Amino acid sequence: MSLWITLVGGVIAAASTGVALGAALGLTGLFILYFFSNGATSIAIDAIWNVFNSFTLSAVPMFILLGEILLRSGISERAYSAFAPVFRNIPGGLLHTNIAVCTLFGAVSGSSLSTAAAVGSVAYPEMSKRGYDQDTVVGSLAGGGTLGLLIPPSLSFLIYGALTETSIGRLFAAGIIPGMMVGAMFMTYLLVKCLRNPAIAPHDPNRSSLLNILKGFRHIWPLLLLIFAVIGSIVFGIATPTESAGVGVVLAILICSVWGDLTLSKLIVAIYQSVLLFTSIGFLVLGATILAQSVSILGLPQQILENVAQSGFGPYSVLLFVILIYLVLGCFFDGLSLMIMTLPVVFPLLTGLGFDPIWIGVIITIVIEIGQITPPVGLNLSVLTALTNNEVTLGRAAYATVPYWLIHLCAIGIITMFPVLVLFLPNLFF
Amino acid sequence: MLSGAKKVVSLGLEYLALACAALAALGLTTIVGIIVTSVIMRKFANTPLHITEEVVGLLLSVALFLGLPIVTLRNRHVHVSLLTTYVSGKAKALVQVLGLTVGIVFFGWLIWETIPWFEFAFKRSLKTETTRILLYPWMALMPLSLVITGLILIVRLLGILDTPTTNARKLSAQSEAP
Repeated sequence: MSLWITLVGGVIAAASTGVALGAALGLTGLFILYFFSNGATSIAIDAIWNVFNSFTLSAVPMFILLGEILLRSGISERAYSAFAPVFRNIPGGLLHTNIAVCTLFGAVSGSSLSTAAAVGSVAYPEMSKRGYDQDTVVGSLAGGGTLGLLIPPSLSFLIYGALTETSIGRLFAAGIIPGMMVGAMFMTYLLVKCLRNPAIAPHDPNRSSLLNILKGFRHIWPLLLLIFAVIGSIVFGIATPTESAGVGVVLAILICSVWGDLTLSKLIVAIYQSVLLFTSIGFLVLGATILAQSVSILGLPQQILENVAQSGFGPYSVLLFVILIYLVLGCFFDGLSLMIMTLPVVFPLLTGLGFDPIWIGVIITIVIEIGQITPPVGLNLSVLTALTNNEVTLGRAAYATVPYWLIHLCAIGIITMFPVLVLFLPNLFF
Repeated sequence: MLSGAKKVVSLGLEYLALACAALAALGLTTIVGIIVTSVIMRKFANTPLHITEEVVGLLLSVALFLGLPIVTLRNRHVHVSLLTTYVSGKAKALVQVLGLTVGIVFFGWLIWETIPWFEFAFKRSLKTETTRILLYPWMALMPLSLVITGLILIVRLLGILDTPTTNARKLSAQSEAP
């Protein structure tokens, strides 16, 4: 009992002081090692060193860099222009374009935040000018942005795979169908919403011929090539995620220099921002590693598993309970932080109950996507509110994203009922 | 006199953190270079680079540890800002002092633990398994960066360095928006 009080109380007390979350987790871990494991704090340093000497984890900063390069090279504008005519005559028009471009951008950037920022910066000013309902626009961008974490390459899958020693290639393949499914559900919702209230999205009288649509796509072939090179090489087993990320970065630099407006100074900024973002995520992993080491050395996950087994709850009741905890914690932590700090307990618990590790990875990713759009810490909401210069407040943006929140929950239900949606592609390719 | 000394300390830490960040960025670009070279060598010359996995692993830790000072200096860590946002005045100052103290204790404890860990590798000249790269110069970066990061927190606690007040991740998110 005193161990639990130290674990939960230590994390809450330390984190609430506003210290870096990694330090709060790490300090709690050090206390547990010192007071409950006979002062075995020295193993924390070995654990940190072993985790960060990882070839697999090195894909994380490279995918961050890939996203930063694309974000700063104006490529999202071209992608947006190419997709705009496709949905011109469908009720909802450019709102569907937001989802489609977020899906496309998610396939080259591993970050939900980068996706929302890149597409939002192009879409919001244009759609506001055309008279689209601002709240609906922000909602579609915040919701669409979350696809960046589910559609490969995904930072969430990379970190999950590296921390749990699960195949990242299989995780990437597993995210494709659920990602497309959630994207399609978003579009269906927007279609129904705009059919019920056409004032949300003004009708565009111009019609687009098939030839014009195809001509538009001619301008984004380099981006499609990049997606194929990055995801295809992993899914078809040609390269490891780390190799694919490295080659993807070089290809992105070439493509964005020739085809976009990437300059040397923008590249330097992208590298610098990548170092900052990687370090802030990495420090969190560092703290979580110490905490994970302390709880695993004491056999805490096994104790929880035994207690759950004795309690008589079925695996799905436990899963429901875990999801509810994630939803509550999603109000206070951003998605990746939440995943990193809970994996040491949640992963052994759910795999111990017989759930597939790949399937769990997808479920956790969807739940943390919800955290990205849950106030007050939902980062997608913050970035989009900033992009609108507070024309749409955080509260209005949060209210507008409630349907996307529900769609994610619905997707979890569907994937739980039909796990084959997640496991079909990994089983096919690997 | 005192303000001049404060300026020297804060500028010195700023340049030190920036130099570390530049090396971290160099580490990151070197990772990309090595991986791409390795892929090309494996696919086209059928001779994979045997150093790739170990050097990339070492460079990853370089990128992380050398990035720590600048991330701490710019307050770009992920943190829970609920309490710090909703309190004000003396209560806010107290929470900030507590936060800095917790950070200093954590980094101090880690530094303390890294000393015997580094000594062990140094005295035995530990090397990597495959490529026989001497480990201690790389391992030295961990205590070094922890010391610089701890110093930044101490200097901030003493009031020599200002604490950026904006929510770190929100600021990061906003700065990412073009």
